[in-house]
Amino acid sequence: MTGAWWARTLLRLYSPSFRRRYGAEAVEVVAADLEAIRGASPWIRPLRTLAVLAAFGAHGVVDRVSGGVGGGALGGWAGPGWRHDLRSAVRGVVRRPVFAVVAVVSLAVGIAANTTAFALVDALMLQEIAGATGHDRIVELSLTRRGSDAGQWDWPTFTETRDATPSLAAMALAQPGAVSLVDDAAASDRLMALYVTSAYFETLGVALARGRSFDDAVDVPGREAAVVVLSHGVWQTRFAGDPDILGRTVRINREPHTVVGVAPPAFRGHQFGAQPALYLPLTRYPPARADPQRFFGTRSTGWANALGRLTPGATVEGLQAALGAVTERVARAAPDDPDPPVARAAPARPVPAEARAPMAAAFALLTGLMLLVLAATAANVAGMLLARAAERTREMALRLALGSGRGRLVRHLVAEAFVVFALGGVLGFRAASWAVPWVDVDRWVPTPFPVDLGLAVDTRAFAFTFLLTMGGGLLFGLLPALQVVRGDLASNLRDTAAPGHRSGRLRTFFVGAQVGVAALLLVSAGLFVRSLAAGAAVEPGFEPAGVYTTRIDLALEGRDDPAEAAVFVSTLLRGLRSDPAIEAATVATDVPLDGGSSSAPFRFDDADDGAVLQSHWAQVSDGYFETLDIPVVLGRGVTELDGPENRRVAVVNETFARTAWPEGGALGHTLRLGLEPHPYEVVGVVGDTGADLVTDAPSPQVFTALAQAPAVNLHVVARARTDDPAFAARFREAVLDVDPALALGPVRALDDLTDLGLLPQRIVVALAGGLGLLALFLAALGVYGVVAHGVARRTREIGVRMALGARRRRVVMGVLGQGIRLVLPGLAAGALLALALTGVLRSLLVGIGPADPVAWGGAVGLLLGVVVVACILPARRASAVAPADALRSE
Amino acid sequence: MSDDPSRFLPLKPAHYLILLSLAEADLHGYGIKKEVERRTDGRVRLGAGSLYRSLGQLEEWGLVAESTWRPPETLDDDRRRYLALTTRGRAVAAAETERLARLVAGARASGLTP
Repeated sequence: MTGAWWARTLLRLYSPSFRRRYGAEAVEVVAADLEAIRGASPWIRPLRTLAVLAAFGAHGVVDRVSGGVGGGALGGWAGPGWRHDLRSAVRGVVRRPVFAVVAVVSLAVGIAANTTAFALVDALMLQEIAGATGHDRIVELSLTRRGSDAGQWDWPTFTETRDATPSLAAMALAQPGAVSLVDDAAASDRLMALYVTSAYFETLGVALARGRSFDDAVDVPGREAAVVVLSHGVWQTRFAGDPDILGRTVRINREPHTVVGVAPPAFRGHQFGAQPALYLPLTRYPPARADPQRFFGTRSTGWANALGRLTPGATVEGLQAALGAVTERVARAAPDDPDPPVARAAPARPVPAEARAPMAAAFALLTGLMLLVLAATAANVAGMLLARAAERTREMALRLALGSGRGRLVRHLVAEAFVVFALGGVLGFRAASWAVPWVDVDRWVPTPFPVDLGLAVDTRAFAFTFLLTMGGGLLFGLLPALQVVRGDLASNLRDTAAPGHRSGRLRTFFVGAQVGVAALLLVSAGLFVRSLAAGAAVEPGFEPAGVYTTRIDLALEGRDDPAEAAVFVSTLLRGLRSDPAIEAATVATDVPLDGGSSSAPFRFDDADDGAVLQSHWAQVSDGYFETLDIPVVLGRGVTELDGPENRRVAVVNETFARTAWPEGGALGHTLRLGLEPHPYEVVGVVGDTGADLVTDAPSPQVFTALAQAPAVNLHVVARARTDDPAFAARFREAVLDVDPALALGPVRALDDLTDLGLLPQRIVVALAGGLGLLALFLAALGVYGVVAHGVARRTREIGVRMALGARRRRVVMGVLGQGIRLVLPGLAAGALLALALTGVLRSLLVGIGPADPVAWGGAVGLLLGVVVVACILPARRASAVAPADALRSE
Repeated sequence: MSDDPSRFLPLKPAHYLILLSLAEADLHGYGIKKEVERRTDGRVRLGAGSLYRSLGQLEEWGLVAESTWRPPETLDDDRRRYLALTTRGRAVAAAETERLARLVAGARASGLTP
């Protein structure tokens, strides 16, 4: 559909006089405006298109209602009397407190949900990098090799591209990493640092609040200075905003660093959600310092993300061509490279390009759901307004006949809708301001360092809410209003039985839509409630109760030397095990069901075909299986004796053993890890546990001895001897007793971590359940309204039938039947949508299929039950009609 | 209807800009839109709806009227309505200009000079 098509369609909103005079020209102008937007970025374009069309449509509505240009007969929309109308509308709303409260509160919930969703979408998809300048000149650069979609750059290609691309004014690499920060006090923090090259701040157009950025010297590997730029937040919280901070020495990863600068408060890193506390030279990135040849000397290892700043006047397309030339030169220089890289440039946003598409899909779903509920709510309010308008058809007709302008009448009705929507909007906006802080990653997910989404109910969110509210008020106010005044004057005056016939159809449609939304949400909620129940019943294969875990990273403690790490681990374990409150303790690279694990390919020594089994892999110290209470089925677990001087051992789980050696006899076989030369002898088989999430099917797992191949990023795990609520604090102290300056992660109960596995299901239940119940309530109100209205209109007919001998039962059943017929189409549509949706969500369902009869039966039963209840009151009223009264009533 | 231009004051910014754009030449709607953009360095972009509704109001108040002038036949399009300032329109635009000038003079006197 073209812009002109839309413009012509929207033109129908305008008055005939406007269309005659300006129609053709206006359509051209709208089309030209839309054409002008064509060049905008794909994220902005739909919004601006919508804005142009919405503005054109809104003017049409105003023009139509005010009677059109030169159409003075209908009276001016903007003329006097607005205040009078608003006042009388407020009076009208206040006089029906039940209607007012139901309408306002339900609208407020719908609007709050939408505002919150908007804040999320805005922060993730629409905002530019906060605190940066010259946004249209900042680009993200990716370097892709076949078989790797991370787009990260190797060092040699980076330096060549930086130096040989004239359209890049600046280019920088950035790579996040955890660090420990120790100042004068002993307490240490685990913080996120961003390792960057010298041009990072220049690339983003960020002027430091104090001091200077890194100079070029830090970009020379091996000769880098130990310098740091602090974020504003860390400067404030850790150094109390010390004005003499520049030149001060702070200890980062236990090494002294000199503070050379402080970032401005508005700048919180270039990436969404990941706010660096510190900025360090990339050349000081610990893995790179440990292996400079691999990180700085080879092209095959991509390891950092790149940003660039265009020179003024340069375009992304031009840069793309220049990058092509550079990578071609790189490929020519290394003709034996079988996999030359390809560099790409794209406008930079806080969310990297490759993450945006899947997020857009998730948000479309979320926003769609929210808008659906709001539409149902608004439809309900419109339905109630419509019912009231229909009751007043005769009054309106009379007022028209007496010479009242149609514009005035419409205005009066719209004013009423506006009052309700405005109240709902104000309340909803307040509610969203309360709700948004709860949309907080840290509150729900154990992240290794603090994450702040930076969500805010700000002026943009306010503008969104305002538009939503006003647009809704206008649309859902005008529909019933036009319905009433459009009717034929004479027939409205004459006819008493038929008023609201058309509006009846519209209401029926609204109610059907509500029932559909309610059905969709309730079925989804039902399926996930069932999933939660099934998930809680899954045996995890270990005993999480009473087990606590925290994380340490020996690389941050200056203990990444293997021998030193091994000594530290055994000291730590000795310390923990001497604590009487701790029943058992262990150290491992992974714990079950914490939502993350690493995997590795294992080869079989005795297989001729070089078969490989990709398995989850954890390095564990002695006591691991005892601490977690994982049963050892065959052989033994990892013990103290499995040290570096002894034969390397591996323990596998039952799934691994069954997959590798179906006929049994796992013990004694040897495995190799990837291309490593040393064999690992299988010495034990243990029970299966979930690796990442409760929802995962059992998968092969291998455990090797930590002492035989040390790792630095570790979980420290302890089982409490008694059920002591203060154990977490006690455990933390026991670890810090070993070394008070350890940068310890938060202590978490394994139970909580395990629960996280069901977090997506919980979110769906909370969202779909909450919104579903709201939609159900609204649908019930809608059904009640329509059925009650129908009964009221048919009072006379029912009276006649009762007078002719109809039974009460038949009358009641008739009314009930009317209610059921009303909701069936909506129910069917909602069920179809739910089927489609649960197909998408299938992977999140635990232990049940998308056609789970209990969930479906429950949801549909609940809906129909509520519909029956909503019909009972009007049905009883109908059956209580006294024939004589009914016949007299007109 | 007395013909005191001040009863139309203050003019809405969009109305004022439209009157200004018609000061030198008779234009059709799209031409007015372009001229307004040119005069404001692209800062004011009138949407189709607000543009034509404003024109409708200005016509109704007798500040602009359909022009008899047409461009050369090769450039013409008979769907377009060319508009011209009326005498009253000129007077109103001048009165608004004077009002704004007084405002600016007052601001200057208070030291708020750019």
